[in-house]
Amino acid sequence: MNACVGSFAVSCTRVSDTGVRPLQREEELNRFFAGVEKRALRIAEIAIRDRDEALDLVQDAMLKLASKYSHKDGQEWAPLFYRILQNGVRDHHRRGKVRNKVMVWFGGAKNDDSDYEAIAAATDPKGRTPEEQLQTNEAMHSLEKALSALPGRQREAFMLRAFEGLDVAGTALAMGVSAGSVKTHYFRAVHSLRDSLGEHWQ
Amino acid sequence: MNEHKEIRDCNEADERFIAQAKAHFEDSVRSLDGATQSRLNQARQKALAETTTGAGFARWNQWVPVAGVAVAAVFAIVLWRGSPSLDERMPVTTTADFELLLNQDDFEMLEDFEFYSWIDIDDVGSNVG
Repeated sequence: MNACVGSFAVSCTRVSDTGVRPLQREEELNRFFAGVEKRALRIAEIAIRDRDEALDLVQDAMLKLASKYSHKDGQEWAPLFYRILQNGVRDHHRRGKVRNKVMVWFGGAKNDDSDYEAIAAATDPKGRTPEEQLQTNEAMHSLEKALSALPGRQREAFMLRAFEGLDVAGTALAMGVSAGSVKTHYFRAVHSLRDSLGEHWQ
Repeated sequence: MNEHKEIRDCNEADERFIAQAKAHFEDSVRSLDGATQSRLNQARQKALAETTTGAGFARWNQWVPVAGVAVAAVFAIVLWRGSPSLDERMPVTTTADFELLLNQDDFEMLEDFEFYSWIDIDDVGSNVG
């Protein structure tokens, strides 16, 4: 019994290579995931237009970060997490292209984005009037459609910078491109979105 | 150079647009339903369990594909090198065998069996004599 307690105590207090105790690291990782998971889901969902698939991608990204990069400094987690997530999104698009080619071959291609309503069925926790909620939903729906029409890199840069709030260096790490490339993609994305949504969008 | 100039030109209207877009996005994040939030929570707990129970296994587990390929390669080499070759397993059929089968003299010898028996006896007799 004492041996078990002793080994448990040792396993709980053992300091890892990075100088952080495992339990403390787990708590930090829990806080990080709790803080990022909802935005990550929405970012993935906007990119692939499917909530279930987006949930799977977020879960995969969490598992990979936890199993491979939990020993890294906490400051690096956000770019690494989004890099894993963006890779998953790109893989999803690649698989979709192959699937569409096969479906075209058999004469049954279908546009997945045709009638996707991500937030139309969601209840409003703020208790706004249906008109206000509808207006907000429509604005977000228009934004999502405009984001879907952007080239992939511009969409990634915009969502990571504007929605997630990563800085240029973090976005560059997440996208696997240079800082200058991030600035270019972000700038073009902002102007493309403004052009497509119009001046009256708000 | 023009690109840098364009980037510097990210003006107040752009900033207002970005702020508005972020506000709508955050609003949609807050509107996520309970079932989705529950699934996110489950995913988080699963990932956290990976850090405590699965980390060591994952490190060990990453060698499984390599070990599998190595075992398969060794097995293939053993099969390739250790099994008897086709030449060893099958009796060799040469042209000489066909000649034996097709040689008409052998059949003639069988037909004159009495003659050859007589020569054989005669040889024995002459040796005795």
